[in-house]
Amino acid sequence: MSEYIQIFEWVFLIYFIILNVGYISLNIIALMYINRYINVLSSDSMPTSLGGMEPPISILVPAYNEETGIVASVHAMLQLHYPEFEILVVNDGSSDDTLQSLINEFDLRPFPEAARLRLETQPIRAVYLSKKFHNLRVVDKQNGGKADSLNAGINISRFPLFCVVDADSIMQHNSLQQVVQPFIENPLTIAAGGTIRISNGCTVERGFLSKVALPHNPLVLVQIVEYLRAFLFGRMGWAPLNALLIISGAFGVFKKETVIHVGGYRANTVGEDMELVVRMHRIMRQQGKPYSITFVPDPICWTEAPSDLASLKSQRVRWQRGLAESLTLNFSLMFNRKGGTVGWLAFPYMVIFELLGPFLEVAGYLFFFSGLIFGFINTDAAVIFFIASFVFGLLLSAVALLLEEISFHVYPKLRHTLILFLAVALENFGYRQLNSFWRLQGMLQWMLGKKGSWGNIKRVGHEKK
Amino acid sequence: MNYISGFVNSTDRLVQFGLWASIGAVGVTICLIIYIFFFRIVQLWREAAQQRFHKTWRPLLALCPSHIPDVLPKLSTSHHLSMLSLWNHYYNIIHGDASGNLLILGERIGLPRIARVQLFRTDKRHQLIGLLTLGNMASREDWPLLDRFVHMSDTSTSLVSMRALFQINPHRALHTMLPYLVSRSDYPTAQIATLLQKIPSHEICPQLTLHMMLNLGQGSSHLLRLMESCHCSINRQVFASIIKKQPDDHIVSTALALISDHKALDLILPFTKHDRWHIRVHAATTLGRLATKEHLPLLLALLADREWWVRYRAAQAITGLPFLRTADLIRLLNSIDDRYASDMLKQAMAEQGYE
Repeated sequence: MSEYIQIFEWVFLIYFIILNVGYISLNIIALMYINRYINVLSSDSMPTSLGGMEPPISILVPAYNEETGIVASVHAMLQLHYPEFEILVVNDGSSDDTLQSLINEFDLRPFPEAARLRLETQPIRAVYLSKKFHNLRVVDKQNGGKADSLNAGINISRFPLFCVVDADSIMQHNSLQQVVQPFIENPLTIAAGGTIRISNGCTVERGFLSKVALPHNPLVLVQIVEYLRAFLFGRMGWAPLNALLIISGAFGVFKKETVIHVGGYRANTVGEDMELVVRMHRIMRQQGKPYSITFVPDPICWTEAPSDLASLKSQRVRWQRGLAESLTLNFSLMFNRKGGTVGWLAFPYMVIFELLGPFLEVAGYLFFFSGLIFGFINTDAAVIFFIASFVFGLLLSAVALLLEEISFHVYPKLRHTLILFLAVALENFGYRQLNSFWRLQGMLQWMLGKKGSWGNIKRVGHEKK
Repeated sequence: MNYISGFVNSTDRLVQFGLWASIGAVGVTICLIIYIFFFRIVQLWREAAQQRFHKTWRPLLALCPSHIPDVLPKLSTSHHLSMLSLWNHYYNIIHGDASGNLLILGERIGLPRIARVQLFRTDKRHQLIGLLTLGNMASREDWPLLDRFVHMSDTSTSLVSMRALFQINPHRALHTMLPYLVSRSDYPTAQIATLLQKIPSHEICPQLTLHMMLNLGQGSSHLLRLMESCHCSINRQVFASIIKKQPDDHIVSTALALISDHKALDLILPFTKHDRWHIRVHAATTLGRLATKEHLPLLLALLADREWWVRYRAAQAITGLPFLRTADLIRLLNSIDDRYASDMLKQAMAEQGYE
C-alpha cells in the first residue's frame, strides 16, 4: 500500500514540477516577446509606417437571442476606425426580436444576394441590406448554432479577411487596425487573435469603453487575473513559436480562403473557435504549407465575465468540453512527424495539462485531503506541497501583473494592481479547486456525449445610462 | 516558529525540495512586487515630467503658425524624443503656408541636429522618428545621410528614408531612386504610391511604363501593381508587348486591369475564355470599362460563368455600361434563362440602387 502511495506522491510532484517549468518557460518567452513587440509597435504607430495598407475586412457577428444589446453593438461597430469593412450580422433563428430590432433600427430591406455557398449551412431565409449603412447586411437563417452561423457569414462575406466578434464584445475604435497588422507585415499570416479583457467594473459609453476600473465582485477580480495570465503569458508565450492553439471566439481575424480550405467551422461543437485553429495547424502542417497563426497583445476587445457562480460554472464546463473536442478531433497532430512545435510541444502540453489536468488535480486534492485525514501521507510533505503550489501560483500571477505593467498599463492606479494581487492570493482558497471540479465535470459531459448549444451567460451590463 | 524549523530540519528530501522551491518562489515574487511598485513610481514621475513638457510646448507649437516667441523655453535632453514626436504631430495637422513657421521653429529648436543624433541610436523607434523629422524638415544637407539609410535592409527604415528623400526633392528622388525603389519588393505598393503622390501622373506614369518595358521580367507584376496604385494606364502597344514577352497569368491579369485603350479590345477578348478564372474576372472588369454594344453577348456569357467572381464582375460590368438604361437592364434580366446569371444580375442591380 505504502508503495502505491509513494508512486502517487511522485506522480503529483512530477506533474507539478513539469507544469510550473512549462509556465515559467512561457513567461520567459512572453517577457522577451513583449519587449520586442512594444518596440515594433511604437515604430508601427509612426505616421508613415503601414497606414493605407489595411486589407478590407468582413466583420461577422453571430447573434442568437441578442435583442437587448445587438443594436448598440452594431452601432459601435459602425464607428470603428478602419478604411474598408462590412458588418454581417447572422441571426441564427433567434426566438426573440433580434431580427426585428435590427430591421427597425437600421432600415433593413431584403437584398437579392446571389450567395456563394462554399460551406454547408442551415438554409438562409433572407439577406437584408441597410438603407442607412451600406456596409451593414443581416443574414437571417434557420437555427444551427454559432459555428453554423459563422459558416453562413463566411459564405456571404465579400472580403478576403473576416473578423469574428461576439455580439456583446466591446471593441476599441482602432481594434481592427491593430489586429490586422500581422496580415500586413507577414503575408503568411492566416489567423490572428487579440487580447480579450474583462469589462466588468468599466464604464461603457455608446458601445465603447470610456473608463477602466475594477469591479467589486471578487469572483470577477479573480477572472481578471486569470485572463491576464491566459493572454499575457499563455498566448504570448506560444505565439512566437507559431504554436498558438486558441484564438478567442470573442475576437479574431482569419484569412477566408484558408478557413474555407480547411472546411470552415465545425458545426455541433461547443469549442468551434479553438477547434478551427487546431485544425488549421493540423492541415497546414500535414500539407507542408508555410503559415503563421499569431497574436496581438494589445487589449483590443473587452467582454463581460460571469459574475455569479452558476454562469461561471456553465462557462468553464463549456470551455473544457470545447477543449476536449478540439484536441480529440485533431489528435493526429500529436507527435506527428510534420507537427513541428505545435505537434511536439503545444499539443502534448494541452493534452497533459489542460485536457487531463482536471483528473490529476481533482485526484490530487482527494488524495492529499484523504491522506491528511486518514494519516497515510506525510503531513509535512502535504503542507509544503500546498505552500509550494500556492506560492508558485502567486509568482505566475505576479509575472502576469508585471507584463501588464511594463506593456499596456491598462489599470491606471497602483491600488488596482494591489487589489488584483490580493485577488490572486484569494484565488487559491476555493476558486482554483472549484474550477478544477467544473473542468472535470466538462470532461465527463464530453465523455458522455452531451449535445452543445449557444453558450449564453447571465449578463449584468455596464452601459452608462 | 517550531513548525517552520521542523520543515527546515526535516530529513525528508521531498520536504526539503518543496521548502527551498517555495522560499525561492516567494523571494522572486517579492522582488517582482517591489519592481512593479518602483516601475509604477518611475512611470508616474515620467508622466508628470511629460505633462509639464506638453503644458509648455503644446500651446507654443499650436500658436506658432501665427506667432513665434522671441525667446523659447529651454529644452532638456530628456525631452528630445518627445519634442520630435510633438513637432511631427503638428507637422501632420498644420497644412499650407502655416507650416512655414513650424519649419522656422524647428530650425530654432535645432530639430535637424536632434534628429541626426537619433539616427545613430540603437533603438529603431529613435531612428525612425529621426528620419521622419529630417524628411519633414526637408533638410537638403542630409541627402547623403538619408541615401545611406535608404539602402538598409530593414523595410521600414529604408522606406521612411526614401520618403524623406521624396520630401526634400521629389524630382531628384524620382530620377535617382526609381530603379532602386521598384527593386525593393519588400516595400508595400500602397506606400510607394503614397510617396509618388506628390509627382503628377503625367510625369510618373511614363517613367514607370518605360522602366517596365525595359525590364520586363520577374518584377513586372510588382511594377504593374504600383502603376495601378498610381492610377496609370497602359495602351495597346504596351499590353501587346506584355502578353508577348510575359504570358504569366498574374502579370496578364494585373495588366488587364490597367488597360484604358479601346484599340486593345481585340487583345482582351480572348481572355474572356481563358482557363484561369482570375483572368476571366479581370477580362470582365476591363470589358465593363471599354465595351460597346457589340460586346454585350460576351459579357452575358461571362455572367453565366461557372465561377462566382466572374459572374459577379460581369454583372457589375453590365450594370455599369453607359448605354444600358434601367428598362434595358430589366428587359435583359427577364430574358436570362440561367438562374445563376439572373440571380447575380439581380444582386448587382440591387447594389447599384435599381429597385
